[in-house]
Amino acid sequence: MAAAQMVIEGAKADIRAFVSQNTDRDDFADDLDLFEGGLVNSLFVLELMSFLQKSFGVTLEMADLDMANFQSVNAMVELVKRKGA
Amino acid sequence: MLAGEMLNADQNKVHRELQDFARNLLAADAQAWDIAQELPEGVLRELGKAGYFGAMLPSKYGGLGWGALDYGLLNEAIGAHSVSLTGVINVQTMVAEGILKWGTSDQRERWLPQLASGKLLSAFALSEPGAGSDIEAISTTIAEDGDDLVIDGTKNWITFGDRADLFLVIGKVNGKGAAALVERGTPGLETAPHRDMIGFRAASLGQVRFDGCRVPKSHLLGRVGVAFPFVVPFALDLGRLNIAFTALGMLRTCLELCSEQALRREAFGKRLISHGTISAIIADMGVDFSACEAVCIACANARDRGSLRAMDATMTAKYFVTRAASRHVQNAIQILGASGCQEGSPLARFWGDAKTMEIIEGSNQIHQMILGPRFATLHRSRRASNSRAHQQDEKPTLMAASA
Repeated sequence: MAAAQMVIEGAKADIRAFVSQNTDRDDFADDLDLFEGGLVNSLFVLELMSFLQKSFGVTLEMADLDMANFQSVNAMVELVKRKGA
Repeated sequence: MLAGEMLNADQNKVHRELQDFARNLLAADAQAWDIAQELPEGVLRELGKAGYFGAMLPSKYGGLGWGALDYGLLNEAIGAHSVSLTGVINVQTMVAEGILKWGTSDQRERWLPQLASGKLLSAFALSEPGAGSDIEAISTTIAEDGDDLVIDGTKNWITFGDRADLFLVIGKVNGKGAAALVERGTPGLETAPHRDMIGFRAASLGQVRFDGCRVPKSHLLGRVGVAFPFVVPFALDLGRLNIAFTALGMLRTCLELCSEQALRREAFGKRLISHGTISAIIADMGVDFSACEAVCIACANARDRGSLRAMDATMTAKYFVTRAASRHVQNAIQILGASGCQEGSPLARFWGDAKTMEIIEGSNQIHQMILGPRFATLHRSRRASNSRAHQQDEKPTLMAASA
């Protein structure tokens, strides 16, 4: 597996673990809309923001604060990738 | 005095200084301000001079650069005398920290130094006649019109709303949450006092009305769509920190007043403390106070070390301490008897303040709705992980036994 792909897979595993710890669910698809799917409510997005910044050392800016960037594991992986983690 | 062993020497020193400041400035007159339903300008100026309106702001904006614990201790010290005043500190902090977190550099330069010094005092205009904890139900509209925003709607029960110089207003742009900054004096902005509330009576609660109120688009905080998931929860989270420590200060005063009464006053030939029923109440009050100290300090420490559990810890503190304060204000009135029921007693004032603190910054029922599932999830996960760890620990033992 290429190094970049390994990093992405690692990020995905970390994000899944964080969501799982906070929802007691680990049976969700990577593209499931966590909010629409009822796993978390919108208050959780502030914690997701902190988690991504702390865990991956990225700085999220105003333009990044779109619910679509936090709605699924895949969306968060893409966000982290885009921010250059 | 908070339990010394929970704070280091420097923190204890800061707390003692804050308590002295609060006692000297507030103890004699806080009751009169509550009856008059207004905080004097001089007191607000003193707080500004001390830097407490910008306690957590960075020094580059004139703030003190404090962390959550020092800020909490400030509110504990002042909350022991005047909940109305911590209410003003609260909204000032929510607005200032909101601008720091979500604002542009121009917004920070323009408003933060004035907020830190107390030259500008602010209000967080969220609640409406038909919407409180359910923020998405608000009906205030913010329309984009060329280079301007046009605000229409009514906000109710806004702390310091009748006196604030700057308002952080939450509304909707085409159904999406948005936050805008509006200065007093802007045409279309009017305020009126909400008098005779049962709590926070000196905090100049007000109705804030926007009628075609026009501000430049540069007054938008963040961008359209970020208010509900980011700006408002961030502000309320800070508000809960303030409320938890304020309630702790109130609880301390209850304990001090009851202790004085129970040790000094005699009935049926012995001191009140020697009566089992009174001793039991004070025991409960003291134990709850100790638990509340621990919960508050744990929450502040979680915030200061950047824990991802800090928001949960803050909700836990707000919920636990406000309930305890409410319960023990009633107990304190019971112990003080008729003297605790008079308008001149701080306990009579605290009774309404404590009830109000169970409602604001997300009612305690909202806290139950959020904390219930969070605790269930957390502890089920812990049990599962302990169980897995236990099984792993057992393996070598079983293998050794069978060897």
